Amino acid sequence: MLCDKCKQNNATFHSTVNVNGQVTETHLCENCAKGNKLFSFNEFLNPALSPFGFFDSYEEPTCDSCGFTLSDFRETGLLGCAECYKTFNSIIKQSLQKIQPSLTHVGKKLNDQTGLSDSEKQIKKLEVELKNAVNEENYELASEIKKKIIALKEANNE
Amino acid sequence: MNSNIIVGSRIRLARNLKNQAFTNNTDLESANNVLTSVFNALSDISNFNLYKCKNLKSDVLEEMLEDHLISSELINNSDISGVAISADNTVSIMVNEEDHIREQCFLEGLNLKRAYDIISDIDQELGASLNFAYDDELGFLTACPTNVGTGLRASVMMFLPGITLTNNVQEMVNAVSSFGLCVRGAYGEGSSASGYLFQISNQFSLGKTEEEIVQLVESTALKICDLEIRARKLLLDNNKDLLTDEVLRAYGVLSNCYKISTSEATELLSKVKLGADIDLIKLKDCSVVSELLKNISPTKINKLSQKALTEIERDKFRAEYIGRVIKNNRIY
Repeated sequence: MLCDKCKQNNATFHSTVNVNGQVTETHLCENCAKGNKLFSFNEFLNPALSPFGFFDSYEEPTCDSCGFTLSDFRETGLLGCAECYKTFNSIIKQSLQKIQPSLTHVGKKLNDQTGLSDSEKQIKKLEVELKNAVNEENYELASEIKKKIIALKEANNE
Repeated sequence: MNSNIIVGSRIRLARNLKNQAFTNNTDLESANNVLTSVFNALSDISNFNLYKCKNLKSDVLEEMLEDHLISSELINNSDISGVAISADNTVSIMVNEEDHIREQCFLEGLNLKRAYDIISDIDQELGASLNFAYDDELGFLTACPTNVGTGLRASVMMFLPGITLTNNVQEMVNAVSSFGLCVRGAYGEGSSASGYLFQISNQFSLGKTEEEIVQLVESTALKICDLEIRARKLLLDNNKDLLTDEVLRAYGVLSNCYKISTSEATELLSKVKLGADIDLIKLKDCSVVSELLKNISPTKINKLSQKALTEIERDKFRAEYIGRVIKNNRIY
C-alpha cells in the first residue's frame, strides 16, 4: 500500500481515528509520519490540547477568581490566587499527600495572629487603608475612613 | 564546637494578602497596591528601612543577595518588589517575591527558636493590620502548595568538611530526607554546596506545628553536628599528615598568591578554617577566616576597592587583601 501523502513510498504507519462515529483511516510512510504527527503524548496527557472529537466537551478547570487554568498550574507549579485552592482542590490535595505528613493545618491559626479584639483589629486595618488613601491623595475616601475609625474608637471607650 | 559547625539559623514565613492575585499572576497596579499596603503596615513596626527594588542599583541588590537578605526571585521581580530590612540586618521582609510577603530572620549559630520568636512577633503585628489569605483546613495559603499551612521554612547553615572529606554527603542526604528534611547548597534552592557549606531545612509545611518543625530541624542539625565531629576525628586519626599538608598548602597559597578567583579562595579558606577548627594551624583569631569567606565575592571586592574593577584586577585585589589579613594572623 502506498503512502497517502507522498504516494511514492510504502505505507508502514497505519492508524484509524474515530471522531464522533466518523472513522478515518490514514496510511503513511516513515518519512511522512514523522512530519505529520497524528498525536503527541502531550496532547494525550493534556486533554485540553487534544484535536480528537471525544474530548470536545472537555472544559479545562479554570479559577473563576483569577482566570488561572489547570495547565498554568501544571506548567509553573504555582497557583494564581487563594481561590485556586478551591478550584483545583482535588489535584492539589493529591500532590500534597506525597510531600506533607497530613493535609490539615495544625499550626498557628489566623485568629492567633494577635491578642487584639475584633474592633481593635478593624481599627488597625482601617488605619492602613487610611494611609493608602492619603498616599493616593484620595482625600474623600480618607475622610470616610477616618470617621469610621473615630466611631469604632468611641464605641470601644463606651 | 557547635558554633564552628552550625554557621547560622534562618526562619522564613510565607504570607499572601486575601483577595489579591499571587505575584506570578498579578498586574502592575495590583502588585503596587500590595507593595504599598505591606510597606504601610511595616512602617508601624519600628527599625525597618524600606526599599523599592526598582530604586536600588544592581550592585546594591547583588550585595543584599549575597548577604541572604533578598532572593534572586525578588531581583527578577524588581519592577514590583521591595524589601524591608531591620537596622541590625537580621530581619528582612521581602514583598512581591513568589509570595506577597516573605518574612525572614537570620541569626548566627544554632538559634532557630529565637529566630522563630522574632519572626512570629513581626508576623503577629503584620497580621493585625493586613488580611492574610487563610483557609481553616489548609492554613496560610501560598503561591506554591509546597509551602501551604504554616508557610514556615526553618534552615540551618552548616560547615561540614569532615562529612564531605570522608565521602559521607550522600549518606547524610539520605538520612536527612527520611526525616522529611532536605539538604541544599548555601544559597538555597538549586545552589551547589561550596566551601563545605550546606543548608538543612524542612520539606513539609503542613500537618505539624511551627514549634514541631523548628524542633525537628534543630535536633537533626545537632545529630549532624555529632557526625561531623566524629568524621573530623576519623580524618585526624587516619589522615593527619595528608590533612595538615592540605591545610598548610592552602594557607601558603592564600598568603603568597598574586591573583585568586572567588571559588579558589573559598575552597582554600574553607580548608584553613577546618585546619584552625581542629588545631592543624594556629591562628590568633579564627573568626577572620569566616569574615574573609563573607567578603571575597566580586561585589564585595568591588565595594572594598571602591572601584568597578575588571575580573583580573579583582582577582589581584582579592589575593592582596586575603594575604594581608591572613599573614599577620598565624601563630608559629
